[in-house]
Amino acid sequence: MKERQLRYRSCLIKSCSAVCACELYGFACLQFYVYMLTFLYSRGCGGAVGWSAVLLSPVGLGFESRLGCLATDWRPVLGPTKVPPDLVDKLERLALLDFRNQDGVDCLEKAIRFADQLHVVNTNGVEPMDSVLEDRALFLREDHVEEGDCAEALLRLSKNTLEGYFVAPPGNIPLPEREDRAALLKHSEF
Amino acid sequence: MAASSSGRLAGICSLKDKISLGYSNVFCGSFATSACHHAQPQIKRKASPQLVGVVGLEIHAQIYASTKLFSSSQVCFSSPPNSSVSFFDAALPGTLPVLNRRCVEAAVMTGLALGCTINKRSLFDRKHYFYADLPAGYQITQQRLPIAVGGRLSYSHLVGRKRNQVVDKNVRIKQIQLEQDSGKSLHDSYRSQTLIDLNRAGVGLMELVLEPDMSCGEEAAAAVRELQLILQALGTCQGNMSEGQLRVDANVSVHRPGEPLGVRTEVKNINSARFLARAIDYELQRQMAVVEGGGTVLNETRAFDFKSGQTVPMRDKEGLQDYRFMPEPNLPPLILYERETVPAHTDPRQVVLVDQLQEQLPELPRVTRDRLVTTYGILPEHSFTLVNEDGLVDYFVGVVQQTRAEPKKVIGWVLNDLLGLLKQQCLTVSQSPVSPNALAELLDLLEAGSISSPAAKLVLQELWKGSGKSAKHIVEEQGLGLMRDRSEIQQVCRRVIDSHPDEVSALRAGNKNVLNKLIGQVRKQTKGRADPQLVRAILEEELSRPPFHGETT
Repeated sequence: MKERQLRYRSCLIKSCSAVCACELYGFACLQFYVYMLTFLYSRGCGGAVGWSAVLLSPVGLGFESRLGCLATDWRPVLGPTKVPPDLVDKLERLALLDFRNQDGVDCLEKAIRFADQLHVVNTNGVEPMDSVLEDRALFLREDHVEEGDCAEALLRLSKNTLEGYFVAPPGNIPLPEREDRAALLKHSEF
Repeated sequence: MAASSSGRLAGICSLKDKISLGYSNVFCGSFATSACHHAQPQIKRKASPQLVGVVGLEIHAQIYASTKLFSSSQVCFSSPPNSSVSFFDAALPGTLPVLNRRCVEAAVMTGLALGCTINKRSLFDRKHYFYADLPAGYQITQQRLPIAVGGRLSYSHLVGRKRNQVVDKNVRIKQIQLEQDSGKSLHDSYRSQTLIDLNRAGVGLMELVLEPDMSCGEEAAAAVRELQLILQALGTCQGNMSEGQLRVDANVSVHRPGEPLGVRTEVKNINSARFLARAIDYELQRQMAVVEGGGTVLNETRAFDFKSGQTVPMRDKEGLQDYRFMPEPNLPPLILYERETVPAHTDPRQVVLVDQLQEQLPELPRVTRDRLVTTYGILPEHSFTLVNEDGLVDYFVGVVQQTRAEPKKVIGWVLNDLLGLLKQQCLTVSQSPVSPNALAELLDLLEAGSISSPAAKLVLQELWKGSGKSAKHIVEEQGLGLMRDRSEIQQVCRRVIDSHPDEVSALRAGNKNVLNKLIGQVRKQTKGRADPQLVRAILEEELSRPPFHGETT
């Protein structure tokens, strides 16, 4: 069970031209069910090519997600980042996220600007790394059954079950088109 | 159109068979076509050379292990829904992956058996997509640096009218990567909902990527069959396609040799080797018809419907997928060692030694077949049948070692009689009611001339009933021993001649073929116990005598 303890971890990520250091937050509460680290390799965004890290901590699942803002006391080095509406739409679709309104998009831009600071770091001749733990040995487990047999406990977490199965909607529910989403979120508090 | 297409496809296969392929798929296409023109003169194309098929495969093999790739919950094909699911498999927050050593070893062994270069350092990545049977929203896989790269699968397939010509082929293996399986979705269209079973979620898979070196369904099916045998020999995958332990997706395209490859489609939902060949050949024909009709093939995913034998477009997942690959932050690189390179004071349970696994590799099917052919002098096509049937090689060798009969005779009994009976009753070799010992004893009786071949078949039937009696016992009990007494056979022959006056007069009139009918009658009356050579001699002798008085006038 040791290996399944909650761990907060930083990971250092380097790509072709930039290193992104991203703090992964732990879970504030169980409702923060999924957190996602999304890397967008965005070309054609004003000619700028770069990796941008967007840290998101959606509340619950899917549509009710909310953009978690990052510390913004780093000074921008590459000038303001603008995310065109089409790209915002694509991101929302890929990550099943909803930036909701202009404030959300502003927040996304700030997050990208934050990560762009990494372009300043001179990484010439530095071997790229995925993780600060990459010089550690990867633990290998023996092939013995030690877990499972907890269907009841797991099924209790689901709103809808049937004869031992989780029940899901048929297929994926596509995200509504942009206009419909705007209407849907008219009374949003964000 | 359909008929000409299938003729063309058959042509593609048969002529490529005559050429040893695989070392360079760039050229194999052009070889194929030039030969194709000779082989298929009846189909005439004026302007451009014929279209040829190009087939690549992505194969997912479930690793035969007790537990999953990153969690210690059980791998079991038919357990109650969601009963072998750990918190990690259900992607509960705070759980972390812990790699199963057995899965690493299985992938290394498979890589070595296929002549791959084993990467001493490989990496894990996350591949994101949303689906209800993938609770984490991503699959852990090896996109950037897989565990094994650059191997070769040598396979053979049987061609010719009698399927007795063995043709050797090669297909390059691009890479083998470790990855997690997803859960299973059961679609309930009546109530418009999907039932999710996560028992399969997180089971270790080896994804094998085969380069597009194949040109038709039959080649692809032969390659998959050989891979299945190799995996089963290694014990790294049970290879049962109907249980989803081996799943094949085919990338299919057509082009004119010398031109760039055509737009490809991906055919999914293939759950047997037979359907694989049919699905690919259908898709090749469909694409050829599209291209020849001046249309363009769409890059799409198609499913094979085995009822109609057609491929149909699958509902697409919102246009092009973007999997947003990223390094898996919870798993450091996987490092493999050799005995020489293990750092000092390392726990032996924490290292996987590539050279040690190489030494432990079992005999591969190709080697087994060659050994059978050279050791026992059997035909190559018979060696395929022996190896293809689980346990049959051991059975055959067991019989050969215990009988005085020649291996060439034994093979006929094993492949025709024993295997025939097994197939008839849907039994595996290990379930055979006739042990190698019993068959060896029977063949000894036959070899010693104590019984005739038809009588031996009767004894086999009797042994099959599993009464526990030995072959010798059955022969004595039922009086099946060979009739050695010439006068006894002579009597039967005379009886037959007397009771078949029409045949006898036909014979005397010069129709020699009728003799076989009389021989058959004698065999029937003697329950096959009389030596056919002797029967023929006696009958000829009897008939050459002057007719009996009863027969004249």
